[in-house]
Order: sequence, then structure tokens, then C-alpha cells
Amino acid sequence: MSGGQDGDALVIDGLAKRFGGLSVLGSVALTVPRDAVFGVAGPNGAGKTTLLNIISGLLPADAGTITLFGEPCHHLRATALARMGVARTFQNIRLLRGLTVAEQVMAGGYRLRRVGAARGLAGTPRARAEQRDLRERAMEVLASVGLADAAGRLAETLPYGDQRRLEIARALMSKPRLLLLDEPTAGMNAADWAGIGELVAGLRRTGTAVVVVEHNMRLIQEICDQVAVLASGEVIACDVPARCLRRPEVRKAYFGK
Amino acid sequence: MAATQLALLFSAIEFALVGAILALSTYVTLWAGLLSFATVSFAATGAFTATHLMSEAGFGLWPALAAGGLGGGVLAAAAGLLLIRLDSHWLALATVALILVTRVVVVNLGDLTGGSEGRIVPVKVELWQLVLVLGLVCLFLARLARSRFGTAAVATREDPTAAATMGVPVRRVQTAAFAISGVIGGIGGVLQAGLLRYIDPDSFYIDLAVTVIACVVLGGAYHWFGSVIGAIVFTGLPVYVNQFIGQGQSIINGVLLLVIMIWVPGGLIDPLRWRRLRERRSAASPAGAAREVAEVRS
Amino acid sequence: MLFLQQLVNGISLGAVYALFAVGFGVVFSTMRILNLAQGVYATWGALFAYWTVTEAGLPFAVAVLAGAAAGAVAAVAVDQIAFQPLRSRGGDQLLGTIITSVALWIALREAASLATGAAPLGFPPGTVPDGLLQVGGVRVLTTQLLAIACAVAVTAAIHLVLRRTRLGAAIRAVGHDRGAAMLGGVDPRVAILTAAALAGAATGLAGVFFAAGQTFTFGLGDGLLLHGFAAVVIGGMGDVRGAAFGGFLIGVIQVLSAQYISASFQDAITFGLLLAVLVARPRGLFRTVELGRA
Repeated sequence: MSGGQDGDALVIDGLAKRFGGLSVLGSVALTVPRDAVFGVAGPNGAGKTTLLNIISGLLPADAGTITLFGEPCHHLRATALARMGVARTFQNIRLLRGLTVAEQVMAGGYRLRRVGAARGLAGTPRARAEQRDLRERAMEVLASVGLADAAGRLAETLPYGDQRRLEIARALMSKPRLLLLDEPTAGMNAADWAGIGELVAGLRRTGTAVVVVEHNMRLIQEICDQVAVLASGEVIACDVPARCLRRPEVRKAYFGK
Repeated sequence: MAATQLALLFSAIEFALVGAILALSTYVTLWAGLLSFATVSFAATGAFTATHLMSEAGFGLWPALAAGGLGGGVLAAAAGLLLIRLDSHWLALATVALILVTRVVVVNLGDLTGGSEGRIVPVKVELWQLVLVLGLVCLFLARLARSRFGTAAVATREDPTAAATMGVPVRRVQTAAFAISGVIGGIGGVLQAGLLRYIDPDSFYIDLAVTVIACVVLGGAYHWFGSVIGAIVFTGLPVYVNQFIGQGQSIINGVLLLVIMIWVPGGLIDPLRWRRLRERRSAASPAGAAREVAEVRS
Repeated sequence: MLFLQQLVNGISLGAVYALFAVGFGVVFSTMRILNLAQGVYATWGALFAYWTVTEAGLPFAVAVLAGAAAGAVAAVAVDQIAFQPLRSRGGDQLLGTIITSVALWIALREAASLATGAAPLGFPPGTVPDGLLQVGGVRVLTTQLLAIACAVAVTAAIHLVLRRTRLGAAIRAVGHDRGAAMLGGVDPRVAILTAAALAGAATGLAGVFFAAGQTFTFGLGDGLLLHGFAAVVIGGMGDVRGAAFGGFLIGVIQVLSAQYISASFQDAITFGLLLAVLVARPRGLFRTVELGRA
């Protein structure tokens, strides 16, 4: 499905990417409506993470367009996209070393910090107020992912599942309009990822569009409105999860039948 | 006898204070994840600019400090623009090259710098002035750490990719760190000149660069205060100890540096190590954990 | 005629830089270490050669060997003391190895100062071959010829070892990815020690030939370090032939610019070129290796 309407969170058309002689993405097109939870599935090597890297501005595409809330942005890099309201997590958790849980989340709020260098250095009331607000919001976000009690701990001492949730909290801190989650349940047990599922489902009410790259089919079925299945760099199906997963081409891509 | 001891102690303290400022100049770039040897180039720029203005234009100390800081900052901004886009290893090498080139420039600009002969520095620097300037620099860095820049610098250092996705303008942060390093280095250079009273092309060269790096290494890359401690050990101490160990001081410094790097690589001031220790102790007592949460909330 | 004479002088100075650059470059490209202590290998090589001649009364040829051996020993010692402890830590140890190399640089330099009483030394007349070759109007000293021949031979030898022997392949493998090399059955210790020894020997030779031509002090290594560093960067990090070329190039630049522009300008051009190469083309004029996370 391409084309898209005004107000769609993300519209991708004709996206292609090559690494040397290898074509990783052929011609990808998809539309993520506002307030949706959109899944991206597919076997290993299908190009899912590359797609996410391009959307989040870490890689340039070789061809195609990307439109974010109506604004073309395929030429923008990560920092600019972050400022437009894109936030993401990573396949292998990337937490900043040496920071406590609270500090990690506060770092995620960088784009919210408006007070410039001069005022910040002088310690004006506005600067101090912003610091306070930031800390308050950080605690709220931590509470919403269930990590409020761990606020003062070093992030690297958290158990794996909590670290993943922390990374999501960090992404949520900046009030993103589009949240990209790269395999948020990888390596988790059922109890842990059920919690992630709830978290993501809860975001629907906040107006944040979510794109979830996942292997975990049950999670996709539970929380995604639509899922696009990627195989060998092409979108082979894009539909409601239940229907998608019954399609023969999808089963072939996964099980090779 | 006591008088010379006191004088030596005094001198050691003075050099330690200036050494701390120079070390902080290098610390700032390390804060943003860049290893740079360029502080001595900034110091040279500041020192020779200031000395020239003090000699020819009758500048007093404070205007000279401003001019020196400005000179260092300008060089840093220019160098930063050229070098920031380099990968971190190449950047480090390029700053080594910068030191070499700076010395050559100093030797060749005889009118401004006195060439290989060097110049006498007309203005003396007092202890209280050193304390004041160091205090201001520390205050500045403490404030900076709590500002937006502090978060940005740490994020840039630890994970530039993740930092970019959080909206941190990585290149701009690194360039800013470089420029700040330049200003602080320039100021340090002026003060060093004021202590030495005579500067030549070798005053701000490899020996000083090595000392500065040693201070930062000892002090640890995770908190600016460490560099101050480092300066006491590698700059101040040798001045005082020199009376006992005339020769062979470099051997001691070398061994000390080696030992630190191998056994205490985080430096002596390592907030990360302390946090980890506190975590382990807190994990044993739930009261401790609750206290930490309360601390964050305050 | 003057030009040719200075060209010859430049090439022979370049031979010294080339020897140094080859040593420096081997450590750099195979072990990914910026070894600021490399200069002291040259200093100690020169000192041992000097003592071989003045204390032991042995001929110059033996002194040359002694210098190479001293350099090799120094290099192995530095590697084991300063770099080996950091290797087991894994990861990218750029800052760590720079610092430890600096630590040993200042320590060994001071040791040389103590050993020489900080006084200038010079090979006594008659201990160094003092023949002179006249080709047209150009005079070439025997020592200059020896230096050039040595530089070419050593460069070729090390290049062949690195590229054509199994040991060389092992050295390159370990430098590129130690873990993978070990999985492939390579003993990293042997590879590293051999590379260090080769590098040290080449650098020691540089020191000997540098000292043979003039009076020298314990600071001999410092000047060579800076120019050797420039040579490696300019000529190219990955290939010892590039490093050697860089050395010859810088030798020629130094002598010709001293002659035709001014003495103080020679360093300006060398280091200016160094900076320019680092900014524009960091892998050197001959790009072969990639430095950094593999």
C-alpha cells in the first residue's frame, strides 16, 4: 500500500539501498497511519534493520522518498530527524555507559532542552526550572515503564529485560511523534515481552505512531494494526497480521516451503 | 633553609595551578570523546600573543588573558573545522602534527615571538590570580556539566550514533568542545608565560604536551576535577621534589604513568568505579537503594 | 651540481628516516599502536654502536649489528612492558598505548641522559668508514652509501618477510584481528615479538647511521621520531615500502629546502605536508590500510 494521505505518520515510496554489489532493499513502499502500531516482519537478512536505519537517518537511501507527517525528509540525517520527533531503540541495546537509569532517560530528553548555553551557564531561574521539569518528566516516564524504583541505579546493572524497557523509556522521553523499535523483545522471556506489548499498546492513546521491527510473531499479532513482511529487500505482504501470516508467500519466506 | 623550602613549595603550587588549567583544556575535548594533544598549541598561541601585546602594547595581565584566550579559541575553532571530521585515531595524530607545526610557526614568526631566541615576559603572575582563574575555569566547567552541553558531551563520547538519534548535534558538540579547549588552553598559556617569565619555542612543545596528558590520565576522563589532582602530581610535585631527585625524575614519572595506565586506567578520580562500588554495597542493603532513589528525586 | 650534491645528501638523510619510518610503520600497521617510544630505540641503538666501537674496540660492522640488536631488544622490552598488559584488556586501546608508550619514552630517554651524562658524543675519527666516492662533481661518503644500501635492503627484507613468509602472514593476521588469527592457529606472541624485534632493529640501524655522521646526544631519537612519524603518515601506513618512500622524500625535502629556502623552513614544509596529508588523505599518499575499528 503506497500513496498515503495527509496526516499519515510515515510514507515510504520506492526506497532502495545497496551495499556495494548487494541490493539490500529493492523498492520498499509502505504507509504508517497516525496513531498506528505498525509491524515490520521478515526472515533474517530481509533488510528490516537497514530499513529502520534509513528511516531514523543513520543511513542514506540510494533511491526513494520518505515523508514524515507530510514533510519530505529522506535527505535528513539522524540529528535533524530526532528534532522532528523521531526516536528509536536499537537491536543490541545501546545504553550510555556509566549513567544511572534516571540519567539515561534524561539524556533522551535532549531535544526538549531549549535553554541555551549562556542561560544554562548562568544558572538562571529558567534554566533551573527546565532541569526540574526534565527530572520530573524522567521520573514519570520511568514510572510508565515500571522502572521508577531503579532510578538511582547504574543502568548497566539492570537485568536484560529492564534494560530494554529503559531504552524504550529513553526514546519516549523526547515525546516522539514516531517511535521506531528494533526487535524490542529479542532475547526476552514471555513474561518480559508481555510487558513490552502492553507498553506499546498503551502508546496508541498518546498519539505516537510506532513502527516495530520484530521476529516475535505473537507480539506482532497482539499489538500491531498492520504488518509489512519484508523478504530479500522487498515487501511481499502488507495487511492485518492475521491475514498476512496466512498468506502462502509469507509462509514460504519464513519456512521455505 | 626554611625560606627556600617555602619558596619551592610556593612555586610548586603555582605551577600546579597552571598545570591544572592546561590539563582541563585537554579534559574538555576528552569529555566529548576526542583525544587531542592540541592544548600546548593553544597555550603557545595564547602565550606568545599575550607576551607580544604585553611588551609592545603595554597590556596588563587581565587584557592579556582575554587576548590569549581569544587567540587559543580562534586557533581551536579553525583546527576544529579541519579536524573534527576525521576519525578519532586520525584526529589524535593530527593534533600531534599540529604541535609540530605550531613550533615551526613560532620559530619563524620572529617579530611576534622572538623566534628561536624566545622572549621575556614583562608581566608577573601572582598566586591569588592563579587561584582566581582556576576557580573560574572550574566553576565554568561545573556549570557546563549541568547544562545541555554536559549531557551532549557525555552522549557524544559514549555513543555518537545513539546520541545522534537523540537529537545531539555530534559534530557541533565536538567543535564546541574543541573551541572551549582552545580558550582554556590559551588562558593557561598566558599564565604559564607569566610564571616562567621567559618563553621560547620549546616552552610549549612535546615535554609539556606529555605532562598535560599525564595529568588528565591520572585524573581520569570522567570528571574534570581529576585533572586538577593530576596536575598536582605531575606538575606541582616535580617542582618541589626536584631538589631531592635532580636527575631521574622523568624515570619516576614514566613509571608512575605506566602503573596508572595498567592498573588504574580510569584514573584516580573515577566516578564510574565509585558508582559501581556503591551499587555493590547498596545491593547488599535495601536501605541504601531507597536512599539512592530519594537522592534522584531531590 | 650543488643541486645534485644536495640531492645525494637528502637521499642519504632520507635513508635514515626511511629506516626509522619502516620500524615505526611496522608497529603502526601491524599492531595498530602509535608508539611514541620508537625514538629511544634509535637512541639506544646509536649508544650501543658507539660503545661497541669506543669501549670494546670492535669494528664498525660489529657496531652496526650491535645497534640493530640493541634496538630490537629495546623494542621487545617496551612491547612487553607497555603494550602487552593492555592487549589482554581487549578493545581499542588507542589512548592506553599512546600513554604507556609516552611513559616509556620519557623514562628511557632520561636513562639515556644519565648514561651519557647529558653530554654530546661523537664517533672518534677512524672508527667510522671515512671513504669518499667522487662521481662527477658529486661527493658521496661511504657512510652515506652504507646508509642508503642498508635502508633499501632492510625495507626489501621486511617487506618480503611480511608479504611472502608464513611468519609475515601471521604478523599481519594478528595485527588485523588477534582473535581470528588465534582461531586460525597463529601464536600471537611469536608474531608480536617478531614484529617488535624487526621494527626495533630497523630503528636501531637508523640511530646508528644518524649518529655516525655527526655528534649526537641522548635526544637523538626525538628528532627522528617526529620526522619518522611524518614519513610514515605521508608515505602510507599500510606498506613498509610507502613508509620508506616517505622517509626518502622527507630527507630530500629537508635538505633541499634548507639549501634553497632557509634552514628554519625545512621543518615547516615537512610538518605542513604532514598536517595536509592527515587532513586530506589520512591513509597517506599510498593508501593501503585502514586504521581504526576493523
